[in-house]
Amino acid sequence: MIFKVVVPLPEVKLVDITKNYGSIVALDGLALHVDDGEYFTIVGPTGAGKTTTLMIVAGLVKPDHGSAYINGRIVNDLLPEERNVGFMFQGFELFPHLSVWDNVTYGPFVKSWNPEVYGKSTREMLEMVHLASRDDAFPHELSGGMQQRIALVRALASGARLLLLDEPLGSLDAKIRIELRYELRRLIKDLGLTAIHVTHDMEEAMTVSDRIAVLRKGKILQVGTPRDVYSDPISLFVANFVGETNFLEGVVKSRGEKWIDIELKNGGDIRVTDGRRDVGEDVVLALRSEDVIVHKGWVGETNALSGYVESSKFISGYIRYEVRLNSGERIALRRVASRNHFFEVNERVTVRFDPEKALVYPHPEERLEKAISPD
Amino acid sequence: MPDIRLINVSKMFGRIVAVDHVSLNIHDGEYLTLLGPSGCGKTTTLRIISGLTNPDEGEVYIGGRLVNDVPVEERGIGFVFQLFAVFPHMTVWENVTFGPRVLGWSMERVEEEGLKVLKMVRLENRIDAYPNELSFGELQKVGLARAIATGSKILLLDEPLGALDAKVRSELRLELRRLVKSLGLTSIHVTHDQEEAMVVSDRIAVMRKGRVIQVDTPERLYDYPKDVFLANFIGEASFLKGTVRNVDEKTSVIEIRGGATIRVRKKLFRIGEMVVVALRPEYVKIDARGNIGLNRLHGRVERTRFVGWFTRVEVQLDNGDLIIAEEPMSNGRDFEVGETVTLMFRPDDALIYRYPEEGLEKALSLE
Repeated sequence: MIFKVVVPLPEVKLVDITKNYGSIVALDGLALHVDDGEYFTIVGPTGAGKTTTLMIVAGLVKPDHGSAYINGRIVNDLLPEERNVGFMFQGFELFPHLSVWDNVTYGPFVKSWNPEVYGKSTREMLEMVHLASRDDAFPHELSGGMQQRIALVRALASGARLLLLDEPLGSLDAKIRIELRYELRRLIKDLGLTAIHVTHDMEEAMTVSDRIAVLRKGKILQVGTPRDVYSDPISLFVANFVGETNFLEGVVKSRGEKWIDIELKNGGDIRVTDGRRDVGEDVVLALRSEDVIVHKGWVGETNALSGYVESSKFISGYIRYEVRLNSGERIALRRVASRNHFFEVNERVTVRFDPEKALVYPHPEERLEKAISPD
Repeated sequence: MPDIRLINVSKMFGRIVAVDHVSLNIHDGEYLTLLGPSGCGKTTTLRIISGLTNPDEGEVYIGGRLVNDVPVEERGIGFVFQLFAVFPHMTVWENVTFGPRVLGWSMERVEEEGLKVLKMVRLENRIDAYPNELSFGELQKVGLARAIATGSKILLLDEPLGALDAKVRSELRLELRRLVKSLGLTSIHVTHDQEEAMVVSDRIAVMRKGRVIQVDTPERLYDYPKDVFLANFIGEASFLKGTVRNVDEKTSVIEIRGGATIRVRKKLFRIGEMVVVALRPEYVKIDARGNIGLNRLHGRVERTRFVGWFTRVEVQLDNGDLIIAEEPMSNGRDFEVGETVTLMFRPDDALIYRYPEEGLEKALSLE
């Protein structure tokens, strides 16, 4: 059955939010717009301000400055229980001594609502998530996936259509976590909710979200679809954060209409597609491990760099090679394995890449390691 | 030389069997990981090796010597719960030489050994720094140096990267393996994370319900899992139920639900037997061109997800079963939901198992 949403789905807007804890700036002029029915994820390293942002939407933390809107209405002065939001935390936090039914109806029950009001919609939700027949079971009798579904129904039983998720999969084993990501998105989309999810895990963010905001040090660096953020990261930090990326430093030697020639810091000439950098500018090339092409021996083509295979490691159907270039840098790359081995450790190889696949950034004023550091 | 051997080791906690007749050989200089779901007995096994827990039965040998009655501190082991749990108010030097100083070594010996260890992990220039001045990579080195400062050649790591952000974790595990290998340590690492296990290990021992169910290299474990549980637990797999229809020299022909047939590499099954075929998402190609001899199954795209360097495509077969394929981004192709596609895979890349007696769902259960 399809769950009918009768009220319009909530949209959420944060305008110029600042929050300090003592001398620590948690959020620094943050602005966000989450559309109705959108699955939106805030991703960033520990201490970026992700949870503080979520707490401000929930009303559990008051901003020093700025406004929060839910459905076009300013909510700065509304109590958490007046905002009609549902919450899912790490590890689901179900009550172990309560049955499925008592867990999911706990909110309406403590609010002394009339069971006739919430009973029917809660039962419908349990049916939707295929748990209606298990309403007498206790949490320890259920699988991780079932527990996730209960936590979800519980978060929504008071009628919330805006769901806030704070590292909901954080405490689970890796295998279950990966399976539940897909299921979580499916459930939230089927239920037609607006969701704001917080995580430090970019892969989780890409798996569950319609759009992602990358947060660092209280500021949003980039907002976009998973594909936008992955394919066109706005800065070196984002390029490093969203995948396995190799970085090469150099200086622009000459430029054509759509390309530039770069002399690498430690030797080697490279041509990449770019319309923005000037001759003489210090730049950093970012190259995804999956975009690196590798050949046996020496192949003198465009963008060819010589080196040897330093390590080879099989990881879930892929082989990850590390190539030590003659210039000293290490380049990581991947190949689908499918029971083939391509290169031996210590073998001489040529590393290449398509001029269109490399991203070029102005060299940061700080050291490169500092600019990309997820610390 | 510190090789480690467990022979028939068991441990009960009350009526719960935590470790159930585990036998394991860890070679000198090997990096082995104990991998399994929560509650499988991996941490108890590690504690038995360290001497923190006594086994009810069985024998533990370190370097050929029976150590069942040897106390923790005499086993020559560096034990690390979390690599980053260093003392925040102590400098790098004070952290790393903490063990030797507690043992009452002479000043000269502490100086000599401390410096030696710090040079090995390349931290000799940071000896006066406090932990809050260090990067995660440097902290990991401090944790490691401290664990081996008293001369241990064996390193036991219990979820050492557990508390870290995903990105930091994925960088540090590469660095961790590099360090441990360059130091020539025998290392046993406990984790529930398959990818972490594959990145750091020479071999992985998968545990389930107190037993070791397979010990192998990451690659063999992924490509030749012994049973359906392992096929599911290591990496991802889609499962198809079928019946063996024909068996010849090199291949078996399996009829899957709905009547389509596929060829798989030969295994010793009888005609008519019920089997399960498992397919890895990376080994399933969508609409690949030309390849003769591949299995082909038809279906429609049910769902797609962009997950970075590959797109995950869920395809519903004509018989209703769901197959997951991963297409590298570099193929440059987008898939529309509802689009009809042909899935292809090599007979060699399909895993085949006897249909489990307890039913497929139960056999795959992680609980």
